[in-house]
Amino acid sequence: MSLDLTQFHEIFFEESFEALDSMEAALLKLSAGEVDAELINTIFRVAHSIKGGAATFAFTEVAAFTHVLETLLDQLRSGKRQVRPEIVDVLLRSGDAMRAMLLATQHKEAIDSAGVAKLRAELDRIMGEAGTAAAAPSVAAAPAPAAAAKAGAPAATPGWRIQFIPGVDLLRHGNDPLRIIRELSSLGKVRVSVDAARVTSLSTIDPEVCVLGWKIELLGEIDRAAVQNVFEWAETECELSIERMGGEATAAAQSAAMPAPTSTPATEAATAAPHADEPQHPPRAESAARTANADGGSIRVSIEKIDELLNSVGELVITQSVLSQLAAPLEGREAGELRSALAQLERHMRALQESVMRVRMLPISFVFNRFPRLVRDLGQRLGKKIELKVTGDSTELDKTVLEKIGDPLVHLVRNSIDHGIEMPDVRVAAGKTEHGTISLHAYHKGGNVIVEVTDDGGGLRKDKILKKALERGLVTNEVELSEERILNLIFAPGFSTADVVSDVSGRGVGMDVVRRNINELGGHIQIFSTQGQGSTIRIRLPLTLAILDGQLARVGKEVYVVPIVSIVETIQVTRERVNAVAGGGQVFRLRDDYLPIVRLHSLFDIDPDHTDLLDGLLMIVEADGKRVGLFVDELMSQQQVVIKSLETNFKQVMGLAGATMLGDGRVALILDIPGIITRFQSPQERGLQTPRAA
Amino acid sequence: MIPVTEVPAPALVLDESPTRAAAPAPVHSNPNTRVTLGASCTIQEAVALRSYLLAQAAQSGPLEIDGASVQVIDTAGVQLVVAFALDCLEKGVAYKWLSRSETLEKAIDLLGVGALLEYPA
Amino acid sequence: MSTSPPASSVLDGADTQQFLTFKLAGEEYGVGILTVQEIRGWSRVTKVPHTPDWLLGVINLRGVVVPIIDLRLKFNFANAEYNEFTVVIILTVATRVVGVVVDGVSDVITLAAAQIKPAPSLGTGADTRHIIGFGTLDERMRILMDVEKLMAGADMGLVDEAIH
Repeated sequence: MSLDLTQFHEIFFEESFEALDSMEAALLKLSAGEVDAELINTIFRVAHSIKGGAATFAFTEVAAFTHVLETLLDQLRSGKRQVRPEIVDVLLRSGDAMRAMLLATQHKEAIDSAGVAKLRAELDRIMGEAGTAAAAPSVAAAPAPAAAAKAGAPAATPGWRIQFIPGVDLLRHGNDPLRIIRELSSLGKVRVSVDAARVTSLSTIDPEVCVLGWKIELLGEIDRAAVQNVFEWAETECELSIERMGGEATAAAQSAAMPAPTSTPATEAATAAPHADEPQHPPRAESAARTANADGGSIRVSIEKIDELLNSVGELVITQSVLSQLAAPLEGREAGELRSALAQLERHMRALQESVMRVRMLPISFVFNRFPRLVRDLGQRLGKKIELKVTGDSTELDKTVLEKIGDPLVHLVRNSIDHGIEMPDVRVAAGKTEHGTISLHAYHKGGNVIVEVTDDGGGLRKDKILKKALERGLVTNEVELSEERILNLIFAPGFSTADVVSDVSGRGVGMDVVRRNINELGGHIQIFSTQGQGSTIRIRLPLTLAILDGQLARVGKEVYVVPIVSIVETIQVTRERVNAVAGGGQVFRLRDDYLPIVRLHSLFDIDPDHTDLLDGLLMIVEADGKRVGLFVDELMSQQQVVIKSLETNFKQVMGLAGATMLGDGRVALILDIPGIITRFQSPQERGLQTPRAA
Repeated sequence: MIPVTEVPAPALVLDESPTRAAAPAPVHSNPNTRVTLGASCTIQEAVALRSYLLAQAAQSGPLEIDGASVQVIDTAGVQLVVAFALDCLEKGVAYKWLSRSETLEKAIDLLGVGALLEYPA
Repeated sequence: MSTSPPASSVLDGADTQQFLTFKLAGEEYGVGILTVQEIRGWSRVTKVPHTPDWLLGVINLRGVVVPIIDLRLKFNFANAEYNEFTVVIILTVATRVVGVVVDGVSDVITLAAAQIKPAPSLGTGADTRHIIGFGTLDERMRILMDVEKLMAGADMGLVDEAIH
């Protein structure tokens, strides 16, 4: 039977790219001086499995190059050669080359053979050097170098990698991990590393709950069934993953039928957040405690299928709320029962909706993972010493948001490296450490994801910003600006087309673009800076693009949804704070600001209850750092709404971001606050902020 | 009587389990405080073992841990010893092992907690 | 263009075609049955700002936002009323779903190609691009409409012209 292998190509490419990501993460850890056998093994396994896959699919150039790389890695693994920064460098570039080759193969383009040959020569040269005989002591734990010479052979030891995290009731139900591991040890040689991160002090520990977790390597040719058998009774009461050691991708290619459970690169590359209380760990343990999403096997599902699911669930939610409204006025015994059943249905619906939303969620590590490399490379090039700290990289957010947040974040981190962190001598002179620190911090807060980029560099110079803004005509001298305002000027269009166009961040993309990107995601960006001590940029993002927290506002008979993220405050207007301006408009004085007033009824040409500003409400809304007052009749409830596109069956309409269904089944339109604000910029701001726009 | 020191724990003496009855209860007159693990350190005794270890960890140290009499131990028992060791480390209460029974040694090895049970020199 | 022959997409490849016929200001019209998704009673629409008056607004059709068009207003007929007899025909046009308000649905008729006469040129003033032709059955004439062309009109912009 001739098997059509092309159908597996995409799986191979995808898995290879993921594997290369984890290889890069491991290499960067190596370069940070953390030489340990497990890291080198990880790198070796990536090379080995890509080589295997490439050979299977007859991608000969990839296979040939990877073979050379593998040989060098095997020397490192066996301790024949010591890890040096130069080697890490070449390995990093080899990873890039493999990625490029795979990409070219994937898109049926020509491979840059000359570049590959050069790199190969470098690898050969390194291997030609006499191996530094003394193995690095920390690599000693690696398997014997027996098969090093014929590196083509599958050198990885057969065996299983087991991750075992007992649940709350495991011990109480008589399942003893000690017995389980003892049984495993009767099957083959075991290497056990424990995760004691959850062990609390004796005074608070529950003596009957196992809070230890284990990673166990079980070596030898052992049936999966035999391994599973050991866990038979405990299976339902623990988190358990059993993975074949070594070439997972190779196994997939050979068994052909099924994509192997992919080891998530996110967890592999979880470079950050090692538990602070773990210094006592055995040194060989890869102590970075695995994040909560223990890899219990995964499948690939196309995003379209998930969106279909999400759509159907959205419709169910609407139907359910229509039912509830219909049931509300009913009377009698059965009506009560109906209502309570409907209430139950509603709870289930919410749970279902949340589960489906979670399917679309990915940890932000997918974006954060690229930064160790970026910081390292750029820092080196600029001669700056920079340490990157990443926290909260398991924070999850919607895939769509995730995809769009990457570029803005890269821009911000680049800015921090380029303009934020000072040169080492400058830092020392200022009494700081030689090393600068850039931190990426992600966390959830009230239905939003917050991402912060912080550096301990020089901070923003307010005088400089103001001077530049004056030069560019973004502000005029007579305006007295608050500190916040001044900082926000860096987001103004035309500000950061810097005069010092450095190779790093001055690529013509300014902070205005960053802000626009964030706003388009329904997010919000803020900057804090203390001169001499550094800056923090805080980005607030919605968890998802499919659902929005909305404030319902009524104008006449129509109900509109205003995204809560853009509402600053809502106020009752008093006469003395309203001024007429030439040209027929009105502005409203809010503290030191004059905000243009947008009457929703005239913007949308509908009949309102009130036309006098004193009778209605003014919602102060903000986008792009600009504010307007939105005049409405009254505020109604706040609710989460499912966003529907108007364009699916219709077209984009000025001032509208989409539509949603209300509980009564009617359609309500969602306001596009940035769009409305752009149309109603105050004459003052128009004059100040975009002098060349007209 | 899993844990026995110079301060007897009466509640535990009432226990009639045969393994426990067989456990010796040596009383030492060492200047260091001795922590003695009883013959059986399993989930059955876990609550009592915890109280005992809690009391020991509150001492100023240095402590000597005697694990020679351990005949039966399970994960719950090992985990408490680990928590005890970590508490000591946190409070700076030094400890050292006088001896460990073969059973105890094997359990520590299988559960991979050896390094957690060594007070840094 | 204004005298496009009846070789329109709706008639291609079949000897007979079925049309759903409906009433608009006393005249009978027909649309290809295959474009009809469902027929609904009148329900409240949500007005969309900055749109012509014949676009009544949008409704929620099982979780999908569907625009509703009043052909009586579109064709500048006399006053349009909305009552319990008002009917909305939901049509699938290309990839889009659109609702069309009519005075009432009459019948489904089957016409052979020979029974369909091309639309005559009505002079420069009238836009007849959306008319396939006139179908005559039982001595009565129906105006057969090409829904896609109707929706693709510049002012409608509901179907990308590129489709054609």
